[in-house]
Amino acid sequence: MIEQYGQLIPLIYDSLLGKATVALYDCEKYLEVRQGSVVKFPVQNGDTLTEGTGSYNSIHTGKKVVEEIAAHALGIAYFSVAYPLVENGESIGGMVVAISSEMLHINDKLRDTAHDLASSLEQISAAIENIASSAQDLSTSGLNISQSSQNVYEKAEEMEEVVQYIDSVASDTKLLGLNASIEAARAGEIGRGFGVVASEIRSMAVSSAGSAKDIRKIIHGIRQLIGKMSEEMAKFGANTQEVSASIEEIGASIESLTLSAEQLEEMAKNL
Amino acid sequence: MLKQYIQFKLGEQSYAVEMSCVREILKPVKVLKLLGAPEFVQGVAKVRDSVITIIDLRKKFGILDTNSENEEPRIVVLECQAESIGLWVNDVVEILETDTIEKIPSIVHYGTITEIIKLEAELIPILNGQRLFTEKVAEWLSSEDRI
Repeated sequence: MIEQYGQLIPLIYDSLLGKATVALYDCEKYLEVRQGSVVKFPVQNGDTLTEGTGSYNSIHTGKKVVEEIAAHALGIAYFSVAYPLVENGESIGGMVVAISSEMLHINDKLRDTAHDLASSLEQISAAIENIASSAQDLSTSGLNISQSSQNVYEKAEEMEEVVQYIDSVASDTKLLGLNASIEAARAGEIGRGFGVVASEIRSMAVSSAGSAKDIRKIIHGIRQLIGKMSEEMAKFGANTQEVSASIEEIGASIESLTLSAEQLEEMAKNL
Repeated sequence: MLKQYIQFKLGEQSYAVEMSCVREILKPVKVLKLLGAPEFVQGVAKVRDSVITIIDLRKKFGILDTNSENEEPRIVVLECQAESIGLWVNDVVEILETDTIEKIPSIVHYGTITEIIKLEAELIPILNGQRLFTEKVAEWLSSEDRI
């Protein structure tokens, strides 16, 4: 008897967590309708089967009817599966289940989402590697700059030695010029020409000494700049290290996220 | 009438001496201290083939030691009638050619300074080289007196 099949309705209903509508019908009308919480069928016990619906067609074709209905019909997209119940070769009625499409698609969606997540994480991972390698380059550049500035500092010291030499030559030249002027004066009229030469020599000495002083100032300036640069480079080095450490942390987070995403993908596959 | 002077420094103060009194200017040389000599006599030194007495007027003039890095000490060799004295100076500045000279009373510094050069920016006392050699001055220099 068709009514016996009604015992299955609670089973089917509960197994779908009460979300789907389950109904039993004979060849003409709905015998028992259990409304789901998500998909609500606009039928009640005793309603006649409507022509064209899945339930109706299942009786008349004697085959299961699976339909996917868009959201405009019931306000929510759903699947309906209608099975005819056959005894002695004849349909005596059927059972229909209306279940929201989302529930069926959910594991597809889950799989897709997990997959997208894994993809995104891969991209982030690649980007992180780029950043890490750039940070490495930056660090190397920093070292090169430090080395170069050290070289400049040493060159400045060498220059200082040269300047000191210029200074001592200027000093000796001045002395020479003074003594030459003294001799020229002693020689009287004859020494006048020589006196002019001596004067020139003294001028040269003064200008050399002046140049040496200027060069010294410049060297001092360079040294100060190098000093400042070294300070900045130290800061730079510290910052680069911080960046590298942060990158490592991020990398570790990405790794554990990727692991979780992979686990999710596995779970989704097995749903 | 234009005269030529060697401008030098004792301490921070500039002095000048007539160039006609100056034989030559030397870099500081090794001085042999003469024990028992007066304070202003540094000692004697060998210059070319002769020996000259080196004197340091700073003690007598009450001039403090400077530690300026810019100065270059020299010995100004003064010559008067075949006698030579080496005068220790902190620095030789330059040769001055001028005629703006003023006289000052000779009681100052026992007559070793009798004239002053008037320049735009400064006054420079002229050290009378010849007077340095006189006995009176030598006595004064040897004494404990300061002026």
